[in-house]
Amino acid sequence: MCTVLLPPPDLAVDRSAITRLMTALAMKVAPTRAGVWTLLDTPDHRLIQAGQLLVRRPGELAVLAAGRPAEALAVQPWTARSLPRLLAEWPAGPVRKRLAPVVDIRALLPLAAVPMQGVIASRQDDHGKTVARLAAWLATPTGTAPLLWVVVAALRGYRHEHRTLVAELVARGWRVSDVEPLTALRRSVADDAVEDGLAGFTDGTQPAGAALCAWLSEAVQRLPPLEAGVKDDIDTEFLHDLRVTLRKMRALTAQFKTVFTPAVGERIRTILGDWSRASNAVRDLDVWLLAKAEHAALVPASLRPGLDIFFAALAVERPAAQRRLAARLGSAVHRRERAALAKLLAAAPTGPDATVPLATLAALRTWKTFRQAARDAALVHAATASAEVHAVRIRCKKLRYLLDACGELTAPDDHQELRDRLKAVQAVLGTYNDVAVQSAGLLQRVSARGTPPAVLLAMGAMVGALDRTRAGLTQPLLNGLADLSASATRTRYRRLFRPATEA
Amino acid sequence: MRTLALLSPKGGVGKTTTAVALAVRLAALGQRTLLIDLDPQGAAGHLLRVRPAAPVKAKRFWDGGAEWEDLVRAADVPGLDVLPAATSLRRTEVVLEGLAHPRWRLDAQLDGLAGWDRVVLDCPPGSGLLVENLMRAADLVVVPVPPSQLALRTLPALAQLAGHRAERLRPVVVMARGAHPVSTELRRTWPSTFATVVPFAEAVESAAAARTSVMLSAPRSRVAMAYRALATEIEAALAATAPA
Repeated sequence: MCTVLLPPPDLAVDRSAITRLMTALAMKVAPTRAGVWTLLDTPDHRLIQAGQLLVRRPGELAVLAAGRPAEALAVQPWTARSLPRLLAEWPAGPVRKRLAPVVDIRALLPLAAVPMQGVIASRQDDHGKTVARLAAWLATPTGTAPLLWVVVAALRGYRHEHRTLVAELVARGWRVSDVEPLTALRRSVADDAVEDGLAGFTDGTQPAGAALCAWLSEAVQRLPPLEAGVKDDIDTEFLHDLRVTLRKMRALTAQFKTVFTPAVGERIRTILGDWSRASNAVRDLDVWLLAKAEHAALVPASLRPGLDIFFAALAVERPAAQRRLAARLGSAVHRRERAALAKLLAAAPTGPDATVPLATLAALRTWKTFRQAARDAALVHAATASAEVHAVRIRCKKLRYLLDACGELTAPDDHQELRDRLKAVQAVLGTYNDVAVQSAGLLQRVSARGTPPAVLLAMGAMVGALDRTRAGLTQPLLNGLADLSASATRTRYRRLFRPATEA
Repeated sequence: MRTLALLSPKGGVGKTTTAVALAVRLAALGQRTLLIDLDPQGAAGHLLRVRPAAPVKAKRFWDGGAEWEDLVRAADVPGLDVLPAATSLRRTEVVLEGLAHPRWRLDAQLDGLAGWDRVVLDCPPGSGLLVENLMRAADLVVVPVPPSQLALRTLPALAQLAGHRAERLRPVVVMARGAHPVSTELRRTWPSTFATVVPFAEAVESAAAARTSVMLSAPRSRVAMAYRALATEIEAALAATAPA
C-alpha cells in the first residue's frame, strides 16, 4: 500500500520545497511534470462513488484509484484539444475499457481544473534496480491554498526500502496521512454539487404565501442550467433533475394551493404541468435505454437479438423526441410562460391562507396527505390493479416532498426517521409500479403492426420476466404499505401533525 | 489467470530472451503479468535487475512451504512483477522426485497465486519432471526453435512427453536469418507453429549487456516488432483455448 505524507506545518509550500526535499533524500529525479489536470466525472458522480478518479493531464487520460492516485488503473494517450462528452465517442483503449462498466451511457464532464507540478523520484540498488519510488505533488487550485504532498509508492517485494524511505521523511517532519489531497479535492467538488439541491424551508413563522413564492422563485432559478443541459443533450441526468425539480414545485404548489387565489394557483400548476409533460417522451425512452443491460439479463440469450432490434428502434426514436423537447424549451412559448410564472411569483399571494404561518399550514397539509396515503395504502391487496397502486405511489411522493421541504419545521426531531421509513415504502412502490408500467408499455408496443417475430418473442419473454418480478414484489409491497397504514404510524403522524382544532 | 511457458530441452535457443520480451509486452498491453524464473541460472531476473528478496530452499519452493507471492518483486516495468530464481532451484528435479504428486507441484503453486492476468514461466533446458509439471500447468507452451536440425528434432520428444496435452505445444521460429529450409520443414510437420518469425538481432545481445529487454532498449527494432506480433498471436491463442 502506498503511503501519503503531508509536509511539516511550518514548511513554505512551493516548488522549491520539492527540490529541497529531493536533494535531501538523495534520490534519482525524473524531469518535472507540469500541467493542468482536469478532473472529470459523470453528472451523478459515478466514478468517485466507484473509487475512481478520471483525470485528463498533458498528453493522456488516466483513471486513478481514489486515495491512491500514484497507481494509475488505466492510461490512454489523448492529445486532441477537445474530449467528446460521451464515452462511446472515445477511441478504444484501456481508459475507455476501464470506465465502460461504471459510466455506461452517461456524459463525462469536466468538474475542476487543477494546475499541478509533480516530481517522480526513485532510489536504486547497486544493480540499478528501483527499490523505492516517490512522487511529490504541488497542486495550486483556484480559490484555495496550494497543496503539497508526497506519495511513497508500494513496490512489491521492497517493503523494507519503502519503510526506510517513509521513516526518512517522517524524520524531516513530514506526517503520514490517511487523506490523499487530490482525492479530497475531487470529493469536495462532489460534495458541493450534492449540496446544490433544493433546500427546504427554514422559517416556520413566515407567512405561507410569501414563503412558498420565495421557494418557488428559487426553484425557477435552478431551471435554466438544467434546461440548457437537456437542450444540449449532455446527459440524461439533466432531464431527470429538471423533472424532479418541476415535480417538487408542482407538488408543493398543489399542497399549498390555498395561499393563491384559485386562478393563480391553477395557472402556475398548468405551466409547470405543461413543462413536465413536454419531456415525458424523452424520459420514457431514457428509462428504457438506461436499463438495457438489466432488461437483456431478463431474457434468454437466444432471444436477445430480438431485444437488440427493439432497443435499436428506441434509440432511433430518441433523437427525434429530443429535438422536439429542445425546440419546446427554446421556443417563444416557453420564454413567455417563464416570464408569466416569474410575474405570478413576484406578486404577493392573496389566497385565503396566504398569511397563515408556514409551519401551521405545512403541518395541516402533512397530516391530510398522510391520511389520504394511509387510507389508500390500507385498501391495497395482492389483486389490486396497478393504477390504484400507482395512485398510492403518487400520494407517498407528495407526502415525501412535504417532509423534505417542511419536515425541519413541522417535526424537527422525527422527520428524518419518518422520511427514511417512507423512503423504504417508496422504493418498493417505485419498483413495483415501474415494472407494471414497463410491462404495459411493452404490450402496447407488441400490438403495433409490423413488429418482427424475433422482437415479439423477446418482448413476450420480457413481459413474462417483468410479471414474475412484480409477483415477487407483491409481499414486500404489502408489508411496506401495512407499515404505512398501521395504527402506530397513524398515531405518530397524528401526534406530530394534526392541528389542535381537529383534536 | 492464464499461464504461458517458454520451454525447450535445448539450451541457448532464446527462451529467456523470449520470456522476458513477451512478459514486457503483455504488461504493456495492460495485462498484469508475473514472470516466474524457474531456471537456476536466474537470467530472467538478471535481465530485469531483480534479485531474490531472500534465499529459499528448493524443497520449500516446491512443497508449498514458501508462499510464491511473498517472493515476487516489482520490475521497473509498469504492470510487470518477477519471481526471480534462487540458485537452489538447480535441485528441482531431485526435490520433485521426493514429493507426493511430483507432476502436479507447479499446478498447485500456481493455484495459490492471485492478482495477475498472465503468468510467464521461463524454464531451464531439460526434459524431466519439471517439464511434465509444465505440461500440466501451462495453458500454452511456447517452444523457441532456432533454424537448425538439432533444435527441430527435440519437438517429437517433447510431444511424446506432453501426451494428450501436445496440442498446447506451439513452436516459434527464433534467431532466423532469412528464409531457411528448417523453418519450412517445421511448418510442414508442426502446423501449429506461430506465424511470427523472430529474427536474429545483435540488438538482443546489446540489451542483455545493458541488463534490459530488447523491448525496452530497441522498441522499434525488427526483433521487438516480431515479439509484439508474437504476443498478439499468443493472446489470440489463449483466448481460443480452455484454461489448463
